[in-house]
Amino acid sequence: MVLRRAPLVLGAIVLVASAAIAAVLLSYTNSSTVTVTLKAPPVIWTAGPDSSGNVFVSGMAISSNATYFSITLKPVPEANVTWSNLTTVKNQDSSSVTDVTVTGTSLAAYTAYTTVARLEFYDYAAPSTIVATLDLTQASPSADLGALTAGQQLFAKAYMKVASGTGQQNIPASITLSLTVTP
Amino acid sequence: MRSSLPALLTLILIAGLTHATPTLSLSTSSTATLALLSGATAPIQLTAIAPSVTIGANATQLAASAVSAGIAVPTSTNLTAAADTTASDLRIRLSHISTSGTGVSECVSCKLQLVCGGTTSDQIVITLGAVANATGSYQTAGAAGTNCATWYIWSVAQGTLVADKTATLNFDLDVQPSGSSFPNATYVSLSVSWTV
Repeated sequence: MVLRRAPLVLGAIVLVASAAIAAVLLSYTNSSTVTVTLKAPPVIWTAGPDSSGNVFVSGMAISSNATYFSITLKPVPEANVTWSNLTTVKNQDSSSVTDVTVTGTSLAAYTAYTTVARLEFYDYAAPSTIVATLDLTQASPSADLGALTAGQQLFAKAYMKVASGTGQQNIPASITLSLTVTP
Repeated sequence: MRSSLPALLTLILIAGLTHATPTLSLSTSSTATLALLSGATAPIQLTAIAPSVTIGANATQLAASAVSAGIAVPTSTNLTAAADTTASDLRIRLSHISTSGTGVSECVSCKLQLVCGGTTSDQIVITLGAVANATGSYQTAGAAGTNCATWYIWSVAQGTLVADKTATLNFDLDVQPSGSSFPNATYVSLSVSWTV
């Protein structure tokens, strides 16, 4: 007897519940104002001390919102060139971000000419540590910098070595780095 | 059963409200472009002085072959000019990478110097077959057109009376800004072979 009545009871509950939801949803004629403001990007590029004023770089430029920068490097054939701090990645927000990833153009096709091409990201806050390395000679260069706390800044040390006989036609005109930030 | 109805409605309402709560998932991205210039911009350009010296196409590669060494007294040879072609002062030095050849042990004294005007700096020194000084001190190369914008790499070598053999020294040229250690370049394809 109980079992026979159960479907009826359950149906009644669903009907009542549906009616209740409908009543709740229809009873609101809500009018409100939402103000949306654009916040500054949390993570930005900044110029490192080696980004200008020396013979190994030129044309450093950072966009007004600091989400884009360009620079011309001057690697030397038959030589290793090292930039101590070419650029930085900084969390300028008052909150932490969950994850920051840097990806870059692959130079794998230029192996014969670009034997070393990498950026090392350092956190100089004590103790000084290397956080990640972006090896541009890999097929899909990527470096996970992890979380950045409010105000945290990482410095990018750059290494470039080009082999003998390297000319403009042997190396790409430019390398693009992309910075992805997950709040 | 009756008492469970309000609870069920409450659950459904909570579920509806929860579902309605907006979830923001943001992903910002930014980019950087690193342009690359060719080797024509090498800050220090090498130029051969001695006939035994070959300079690479980019003026950053040097090979000095069969440089004679004296017996009773050392023989001095001006091998190469290293010129600052930029508008900035730079610092340069020579550093030992490796030695090879059966003649190394015959090097009573084989060394490379940097010379500018009246200034002479011993950079790499091999004494009685052993490397006595592997790295020279930095010398300031003035901006192009100024005093000591060009330094000369000299070979000063003394061998023995034993039959001539070859001693080869592979070395590099380190280039730095005048006021700091970075950025820097290390020219790694330089060598000199002595007949001792």
